[in-house]
Amino acid sequence: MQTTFSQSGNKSYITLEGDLTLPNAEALKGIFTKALQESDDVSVAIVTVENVDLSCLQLLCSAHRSAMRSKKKVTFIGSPPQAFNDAVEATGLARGAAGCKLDDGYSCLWMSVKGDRHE
Amino acid sequence: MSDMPKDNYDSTENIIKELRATFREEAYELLAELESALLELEKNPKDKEQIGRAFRAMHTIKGSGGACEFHDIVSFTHDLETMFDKVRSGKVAATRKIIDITLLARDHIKAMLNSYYQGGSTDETKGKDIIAQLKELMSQTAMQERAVIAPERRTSPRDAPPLAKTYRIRFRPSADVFDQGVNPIKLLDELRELGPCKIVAQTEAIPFLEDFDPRTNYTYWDVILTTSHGMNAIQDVFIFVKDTAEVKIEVIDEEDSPDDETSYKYLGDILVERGDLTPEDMKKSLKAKKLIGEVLVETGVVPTAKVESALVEQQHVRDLRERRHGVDATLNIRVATSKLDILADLVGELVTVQARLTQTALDSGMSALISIAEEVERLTGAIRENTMNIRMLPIGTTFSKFKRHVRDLSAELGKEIELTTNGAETELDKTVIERLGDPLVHIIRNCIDHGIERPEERMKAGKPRRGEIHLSAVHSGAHVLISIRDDGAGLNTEAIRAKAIEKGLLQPDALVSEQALREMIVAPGFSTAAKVTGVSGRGVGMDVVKKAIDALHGALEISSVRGVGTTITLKLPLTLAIIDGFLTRIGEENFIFPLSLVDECVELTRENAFSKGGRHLIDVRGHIVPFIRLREQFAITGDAPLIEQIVIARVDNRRVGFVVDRVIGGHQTVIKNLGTFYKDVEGISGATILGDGTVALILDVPKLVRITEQQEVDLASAGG
Repeated sequence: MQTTFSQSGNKSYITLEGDLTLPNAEALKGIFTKALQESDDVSVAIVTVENVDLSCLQLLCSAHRSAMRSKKKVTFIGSPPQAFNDAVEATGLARGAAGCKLDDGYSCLWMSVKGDRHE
Repeated sequence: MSDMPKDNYDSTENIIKELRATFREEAYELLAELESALLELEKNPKDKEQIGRAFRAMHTIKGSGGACEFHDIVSFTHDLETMFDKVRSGKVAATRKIIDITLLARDHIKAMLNSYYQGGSTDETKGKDIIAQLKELMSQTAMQERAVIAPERRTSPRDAPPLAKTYRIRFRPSADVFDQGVNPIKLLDELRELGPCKIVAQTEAIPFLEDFDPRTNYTYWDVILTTSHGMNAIQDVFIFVKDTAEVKIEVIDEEDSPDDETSYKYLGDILVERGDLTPEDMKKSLKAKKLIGEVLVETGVVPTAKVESALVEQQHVRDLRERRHGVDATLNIRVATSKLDILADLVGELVTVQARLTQTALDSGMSALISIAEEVERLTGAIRENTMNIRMLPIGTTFSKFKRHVRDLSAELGKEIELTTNGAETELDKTVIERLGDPLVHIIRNCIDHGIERPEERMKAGKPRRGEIHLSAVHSGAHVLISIRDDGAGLNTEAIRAKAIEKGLLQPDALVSEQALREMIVAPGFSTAAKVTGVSGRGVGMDVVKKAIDALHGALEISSVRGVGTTITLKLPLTLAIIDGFLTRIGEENFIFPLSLVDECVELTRENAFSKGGRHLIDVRGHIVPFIRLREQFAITGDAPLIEQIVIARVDNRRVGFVVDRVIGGHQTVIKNLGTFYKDVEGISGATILGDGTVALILDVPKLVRITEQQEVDLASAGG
């Protein structure tokens, strides 16, 4: 997995490329923890992905919740690649109506995933 | 009931009366459904869908019959259902014999219904006989099945796939599932391979980043799966995690469920069943005047994802059930046909009044009134079109009735015949459909009896053993073309000629075209059958067909190739209540031709008309057309104008002229019956009221042609 992290004022940018899988989950946790400590608004660009597993999807969810708790933001920039969306669909994470109880502004990451939900 | 106060008794009686009236149409539809399912089942005895259809029809007849207090129907159908349940559960195969008796049982239910709705009585012993036969047959077949089929079934369990069921699955893998080397997403993919599946991940346990352990699984899933693979196949998916994961599988819907409704459980009930909501919390939430889902999410009693998951289940099962029922119930309402008849009558009156309004407005010369009359005319036209559309029914219901006829009659005559259909969705006015049934029965009986050869004859002629009768319907402008095609022996024109001469319908030396000979089969009293059978050949069938089609303002065409088959095409108007007419005048009388029969109008002059052999003829652009003087036909007094008009109509593919004084033009004709006093007037099929309040008579053009032809034959015979 290749990642970049940059910061501009109160905003952080993270780009993710390669496999979003368990072996990389720990490193990913570190990146998101740092980004949320140092900024209020974290934008994530998923450039290309080959494999995505549940551990990394859970991690993105955790990062988003942590941001919500602190009145911060974690959002995707642009549309994630199809392979990522497919993994979200396959995991049954895609949401139609609303996210979790912490998501008061309809910012749930999984609501942005388009397609035939749940199936 | 005897202790019940009289008022209550009366109201109960009224309720039952109303229920019976409401159930009437549905009951006959259910019987048609039962028959159709049984006939399909006969083709494919292992078709679980058809078994389910038949069973559901029986079950609904029993249920609704109970509400209507049709006690004998309930009792009989209950016995029938009990027997048929053995077929449904796969204990007994749906053999031809079982289907035969079940069809007889269906006929018996129909007879019982008829006795309630049309009066009369039914033979109770016949019902008992049918059930006794069915019982005996079931036990025999079950024994044979155990002896012969059962071992085979053990070795090939996939022989008859079970019906689809819908399962609610809650899959909660352990927290260390990743360390076990199991990827839960792969297991979800395996479930998807079993059938249509909706998956909602429950993620409320995912912690904040500081407590997040990437090696831990925090997620569990709610899955709604519809599959015919059975419980074992689902359990097999979880075989490697069965000791560590929590897997709960419940059946929530079955394809052949007798209580099959299009609706499904309420959201609160689903959540309680899942254990995601306590009954007490549900009661509290229901008190709020809001949707329960919203209340539960707002109060935080149930997480959003759980509510969404329950909604997914509700929608999935509702969609399935609606698809099974084949209709979106919310899009349709059932209306008594008598109400539609009244509506059509009222629209007819409206069209008549509107014509008077237009006429009065034009006579007054007031532009404001003319403008209003034009607007009313436009609206009346739209109301008329919509009302006629409401009365339209697909002809498929009529088609499906013939499957039973073909099956029973071909078996009786030792023939093998398949009925195929096309264009069942084609719509026609319900009155036309009702009156079309008998003519079609006659034609199909003729196809079976005279048309299609016996299997051995067909084989000798190089044809497939099994003959085919093909029914098709298609729209053609303001008409529907219905064709009945068989791949039988075709019409033998030599035999027709001989029979026509024998019956005195044809002179021995008459020169008659092949086509004219084919059309003689619809002549009154004509039959070429070597013997009179119970099926057809009484020499009335095709004559009756012709009369019925004429009465429907339709036309009949016959084409046939010897050894290849025969096609009879019926051209029928879409509706009978209002037709496009062609208004003419003779003296002070108004006459209307059905516009669909009119080809053209020409002037009648001394130069182009002549007589030959007592017949009136006219030369129309080099073609000789016979014509009839309606003034003479209806004995109208007064002098004809110097230049008369001839309306040329097409009857049985021949052009015939009708002389009138004046041609007025097109007219929206609301057909009124002539009443019993005038029902025997020949050459007139009805009447209509014109804009100025006068009456116009609607001509029965085919009948007029026949009357004139007969007069000519009588004249020729009298002359020598």
